[in-house]
Amino acid sequence: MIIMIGVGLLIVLLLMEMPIAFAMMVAATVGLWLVGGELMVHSYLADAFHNVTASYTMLTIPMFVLMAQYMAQSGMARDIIACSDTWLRRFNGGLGMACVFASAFMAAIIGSSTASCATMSSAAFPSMRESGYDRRISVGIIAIAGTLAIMIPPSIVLIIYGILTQQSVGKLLIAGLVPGLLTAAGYILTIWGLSKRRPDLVPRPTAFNMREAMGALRPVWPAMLLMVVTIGGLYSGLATPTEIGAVGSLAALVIVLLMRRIDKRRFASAMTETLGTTVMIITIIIGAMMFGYFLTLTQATQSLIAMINDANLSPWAVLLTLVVIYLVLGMLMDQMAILVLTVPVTFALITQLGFDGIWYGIVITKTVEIGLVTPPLGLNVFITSGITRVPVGECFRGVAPFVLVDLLILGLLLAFPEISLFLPGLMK
Amino acid sequence: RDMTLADSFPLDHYLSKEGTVYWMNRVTELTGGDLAFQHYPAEQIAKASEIMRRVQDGVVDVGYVGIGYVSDRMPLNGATMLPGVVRDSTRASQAYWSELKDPDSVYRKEFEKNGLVPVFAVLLPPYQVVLNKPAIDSTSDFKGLNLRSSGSLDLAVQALGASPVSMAAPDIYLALQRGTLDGTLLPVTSITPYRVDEVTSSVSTNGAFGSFAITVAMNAERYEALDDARKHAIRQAGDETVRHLSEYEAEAVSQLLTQFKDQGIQVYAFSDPTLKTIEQRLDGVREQWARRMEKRGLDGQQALQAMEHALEQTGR
Amino acid sequence: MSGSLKLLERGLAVIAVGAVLAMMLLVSLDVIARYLFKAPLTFQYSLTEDYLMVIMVALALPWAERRGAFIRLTPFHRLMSPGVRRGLYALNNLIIALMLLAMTWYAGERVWVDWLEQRVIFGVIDWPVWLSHVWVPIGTLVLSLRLFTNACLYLLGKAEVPSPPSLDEMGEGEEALR
Ligand code: NA
Ligand code: NA
Repeated sequence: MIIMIGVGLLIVLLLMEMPIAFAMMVAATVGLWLVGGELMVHSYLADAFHNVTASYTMLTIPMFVLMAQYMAQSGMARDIIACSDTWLRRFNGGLGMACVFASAFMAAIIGSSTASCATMSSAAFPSMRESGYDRRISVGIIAIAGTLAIMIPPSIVLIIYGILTQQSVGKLLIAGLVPGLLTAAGYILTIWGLSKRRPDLVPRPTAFNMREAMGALRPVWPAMLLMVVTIGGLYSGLATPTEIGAVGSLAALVIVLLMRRIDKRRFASAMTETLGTTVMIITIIIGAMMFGYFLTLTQATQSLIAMINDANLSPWAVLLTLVVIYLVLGMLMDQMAILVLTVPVTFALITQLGFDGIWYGIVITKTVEIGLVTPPLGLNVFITSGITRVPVGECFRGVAPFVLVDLLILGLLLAFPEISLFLPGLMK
Repeated sequence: RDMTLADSFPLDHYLSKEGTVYWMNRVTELTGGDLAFQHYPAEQIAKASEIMRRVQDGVVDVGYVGIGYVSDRMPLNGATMLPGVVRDSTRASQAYWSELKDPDSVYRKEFEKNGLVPVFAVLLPPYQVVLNKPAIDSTSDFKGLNLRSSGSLDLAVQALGASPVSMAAPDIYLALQRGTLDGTLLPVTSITPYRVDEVTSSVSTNGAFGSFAITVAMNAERYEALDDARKHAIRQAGDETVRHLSEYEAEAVSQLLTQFKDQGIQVYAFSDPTLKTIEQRLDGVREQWARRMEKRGLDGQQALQAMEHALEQTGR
Repeated sequence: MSGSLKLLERGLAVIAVGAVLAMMLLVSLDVIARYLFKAPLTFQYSLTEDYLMVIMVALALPWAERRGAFIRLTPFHRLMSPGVRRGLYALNNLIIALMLLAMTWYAGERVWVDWLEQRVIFGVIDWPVWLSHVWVPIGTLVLSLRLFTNACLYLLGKAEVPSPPSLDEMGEGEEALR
């Protein structure tokens, strides 16, 4: 009953056009009061804000956004996109495909889809629009490609899954590689198909010009240098995934200063954009955490899982039920909250039924990816919308065709565990 | 209504299975089903460092209080975590638990001051040097090592001549794999939960670099509201859990060390002269800690002596 | 009222920007010192996590509101008359402001106790707890003042509700990104 009131209130507040972050905080506050009275409201309101913000791992968000902003404000980002465009323009939707490539590349550096999505929104969106891409397909591509960051290693989601379930983090990270690349391929095919069916959404393909293409490579070297610094810094052990964003920002700032590609005004807007985006993302996470605590304290999720446990279904029926529940939860709740809340319990259930723990981690990560872009609560879509200023509804519509592909890939991952387990099987 | 208990351990973790869950089951059994629990594991209702707040505020009745996370409100209990204090964790746990039951102990008084009643406690096996490179055989080898640590362990790492590196827990695995870190200080029982064994080359066995105090505490008002029979059940379950969990831990350490050897990890003991120099350096850490407590008007020396005394009582 | 609030909001945001730059420099310095000299800045982690992160988000909070950083769904926006919209947004602002005031009160109470007891976190140095928490009630208080002020302006008809970007306004949002 209380859970219905909490969820109902959240929906009403969202429809009342209350900002998403505050709607979740207010609904959680009322819900907590219904669950435990003033003492619960008191306890959570006193430190929820501080607990979420005073987090070192959260540092990735401002730092990667800052790096992307220096790239965007200095025109570096536009150079990359322009270059990819000259190389790929003979294909329908070539630039969109380049954007997926770029995101997959980013995913090898970034372990958090929020950070990746914010980076690409700032870096790629303006150029996509400039080249004549439809607004909706542009935000759709950016929001969906951002989810690659948690499948392609490194991945915060897989590391947390590993710690929660005591599975090998090394194997989990390796296991994500093939499904991540498969997903990227799926997105590229979708873009190709979309541009075939709706040629009006993308610029018309033009002939490839070798001289022009070679010329477009020249202005790209600063961006390449930055990539070398960040990827090299990460894989050589210079810095951790959490720290590399800060190192990357500093390197980007030094590069654009040396090249005199940034002035006071652009520097100022890089800083204010970074601050605005960071506050937007972190306040939504605060709201989601509070709402998640409320849901846990109503004991709704726990009773749901207990019910499945008691229903005596066949192993595959249990697995599919869980996947459906994760997809539904993914619509309503913050992904981290879902993981922490449910994985310890469902993992025990699944492995008892004889399923592989590493494979289940990949399946869960796939549902998390989907949850990030499904309405009403789709963090990646909110971030893309917040940065590009394209209305949230438009973004959800833009991302819809990709969600269908994602569901298809989820089906493949379920049907063929070897896709996920082939690489980790090669490890000792 | 059921009582509620919150902790930060995944359900598979031994501190959950052999600790909080074991304790809850014992309480329920001893009261004939009278006291049952709703369990919130794995940081479901608060981060590990904030569970103490939830217990103090009454959001839950019972909760895990990791002493290392709450040095602002329970500074003196931190004495148990200093290097050289815990050598045999079964005995040290017994000693600490006897202090926590003693109404005159500085350790118990700190819980009471915060409106908490400790229901059971253990100390983790002594921290060891866990490296992604071969074993160390002299104190000079510590120089130039980047070792992950936090809190009072930082002081131990510094005293050894190595560099203390702070790092978020999820980063440790990759940092060890890629050489950002040379190693870390961890209790043997905490190596597998973080999967650090996959990226480890050597583990020491006889160091006493520090420990971590795992305590579970109940909201004092809620405790006082219980009748004597229930209070008695809680006390008895506490005694049993301390014994069970600390013995389980000791057993786990020897099993894990064998497992590590089989995995090809170098498991080694420091030679006597090396150990002696290490200990000399670590003695300074306890003194430094006590001095800093004194500056805040707290009797750190008394806390250290109380633990020393309690350890003698258990026959160290 | 609104004018001096604006000044305050801007001042706090400037401090928040300082925190972002400080984190970028400190983390990079720590990484380089650790790698090259095996001499990490041991204080950097706590300073970043417990102080600079909190300062960045909490102090930028009121400024971010004015900037439209708090995104919302706007399914029925165009179906409402300007008067209804103003009423609805005034109500929203009042609800949020009340919640923020409660946050300010409860968080402030904790800061007060932490200060009275001079609580510190034990590390390489003693880190004062109140100095980590104090930024949150400052940010939520100023933001709730801003929301109260806006609610009054909406009710008095002295300000219009910010409209979501329309199809032809889109160019403007993209411009801001360049
Ligand atoms: Na990644
Ligand atoms: Na969603």
